[in-house]
Amino acid sequence: MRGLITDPSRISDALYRDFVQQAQLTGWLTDHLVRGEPYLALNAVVLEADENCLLAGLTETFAVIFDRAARAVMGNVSTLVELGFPWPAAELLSAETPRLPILGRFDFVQDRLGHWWLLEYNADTPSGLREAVAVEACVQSALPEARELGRPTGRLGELLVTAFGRATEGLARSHALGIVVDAAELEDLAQMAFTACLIADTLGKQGVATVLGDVDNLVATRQGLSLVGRPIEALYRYVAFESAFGTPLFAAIYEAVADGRLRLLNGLFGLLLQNKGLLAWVWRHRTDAIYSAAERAAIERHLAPTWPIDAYPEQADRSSLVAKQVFGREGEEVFFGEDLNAEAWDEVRRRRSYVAQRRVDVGELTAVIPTWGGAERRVGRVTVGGYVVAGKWAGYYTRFGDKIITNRAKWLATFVEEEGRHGESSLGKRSY
Amino acid sequence: MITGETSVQHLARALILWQNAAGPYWPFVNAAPFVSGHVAGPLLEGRPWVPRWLSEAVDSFPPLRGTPGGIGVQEGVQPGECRDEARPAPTGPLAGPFTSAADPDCSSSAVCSAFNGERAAFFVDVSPTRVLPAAPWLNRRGFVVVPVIQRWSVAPAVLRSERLLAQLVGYATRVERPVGERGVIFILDGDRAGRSSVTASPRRFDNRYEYPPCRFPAPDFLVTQGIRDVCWLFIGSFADDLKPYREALARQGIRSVEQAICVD
Repeated sequence: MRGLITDPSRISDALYRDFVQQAQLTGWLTDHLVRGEPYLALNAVVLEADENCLLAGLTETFAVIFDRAARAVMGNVSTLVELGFPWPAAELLSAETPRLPILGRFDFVQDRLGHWWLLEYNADTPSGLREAVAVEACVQSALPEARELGRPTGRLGELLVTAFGRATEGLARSHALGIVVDAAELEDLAQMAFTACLIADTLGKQGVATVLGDVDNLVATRQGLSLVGRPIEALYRYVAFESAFGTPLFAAIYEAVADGRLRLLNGLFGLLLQNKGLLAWVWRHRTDAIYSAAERAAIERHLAPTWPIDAYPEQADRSSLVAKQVFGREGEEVFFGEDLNAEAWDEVRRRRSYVAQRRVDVGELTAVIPTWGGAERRVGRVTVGGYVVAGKWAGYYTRFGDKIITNRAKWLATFVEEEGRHGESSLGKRSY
Repeated sequence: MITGETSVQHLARALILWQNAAGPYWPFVNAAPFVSGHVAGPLLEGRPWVPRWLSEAVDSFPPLRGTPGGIGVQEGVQPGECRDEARPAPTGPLAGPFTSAADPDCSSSAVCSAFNGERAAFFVDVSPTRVLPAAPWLNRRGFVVVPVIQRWSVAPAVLRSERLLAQLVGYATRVERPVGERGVIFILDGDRAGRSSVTASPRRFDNRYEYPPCRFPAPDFLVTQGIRDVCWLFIGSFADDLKPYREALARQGIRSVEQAICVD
């Protein structure tokens, strides 16, 4: 893996501005600033062809691994409660029909020796769709040096449209899919507006309308739910469920589901898949017979070892661990043991809603990134997210940042040295 | 109705024009209304107009005092007092063809009189359709104009956007990067919270919002642009969502003055 552009003089202010304008107009990146700093880099990481093949295969393999884990866990309410689900939510989850997420993302990092590790699975409401579908093409258009490289994410939009089409099959004509979002969050709103625009034509051909609305536009009626005044028969939720437990929104959705009047495309199962406690469960069960030999090997070799915070090996020093809150998102509530004193670490352990993951010594990468002062050459760490659409690998979402990748990280496109993806058959047979 | 170019093309072109005219502040021209909206014409409502409270505040910035069209210091005015928006038309060479407010008999603002930096930034937190028509005039006064309007401009919605979009498109062709820059005017969406007296219908898209601090330039960026003083103009009381940003400016040593204004 390498950074595509390492010379800051290559990215003039005018070139960068033209790129962002295209990103705004084609990808609706209205939120291209984070804390006043530019978020979109006119740059890319370039994967070696075998790295691309490995990550694509791992993405699909881990999709199966986590699906098996979640199905094994979901029927046990007490285990779900231990994972942080409130009891009523655990009961609802245990009765839910499991389905693969329409869109998920596995976040990988590469250590200093070049080995790839899985850190987490964003299965509930993964971000980055606009960047991957639209902005990456803007990078390739703006940088001649990118045009000869493969763009492995090129089919993400098409795959997503197909997945939404399948997920809404069987709805009667004239029915509607609602997409609900917290419209006060510009990033979320723009991402879901972009998604709605992406899928609307295809769903329209099925006779299904696509409706976008704010959480305050979602109303329970005698006939079911309505969004912005339009009755909806299916719902895709882009609101964090864990913060909605017990709210009228949550109750309205599950009443409609229970009455058979609503098809919830991303229910609690996706939140379970994303729960970091499931990482610990997978690690603990890595030798179990529920997994094939290839899956066991993938876990053993590529999942960063993870334990419940009160059950990590005695020999593990806290400086070698990272504590992560089970429902944490976007780097929130992530603590490196080396940054905490003994008292603070004990406090995290007492909360019990954390897992301890072995710290990966992530390799550094040099790349030119945008700052408010212009393009700068920086050394940083990269997280490569492998998208999975309905169980199939669909490309990447890469961010460049510091020790913890948060919402302050910069986005980079992801290209491959060799055009296209290696054959699917070789992925399936790969040994880890 | 729009002919020739589509609504999308009009809005795209307008966004680029606004950003190109914003110089170093181009990233802060928020694209939300331009990518979410639809314009059906007429594109421009009326002629350019400069509210008196705005011309007073801008012209109270010291470098123009005593120059034609500039306005002197108003005595006895304290931050927080209200001013009347409706005033007679402007005079003087800098006023150009615009309707403005240089009424010599009217006491004018001292809000920026103590500023001593080379450049100032104004954050105008008022209904944007009251301020956008003044953009060309502000350019001529030496100010970059940056609409920081995050409104998702669909219909039907709690916040209507037809007039806003028409102005954003219409005035886009009239703004330019000023010569001899004296500062920057950030046009905020003073309507973003909606009307507190009106209960929003769930049948209308709820596009109300608050500003996170990251929609605005980092304080050190402003300093590099020579901005040491900031003036806030608003109706009623200072908005809660802007307070964290104001505090961030203060931590950087940037001075803020505030002025509540009254409009019709």
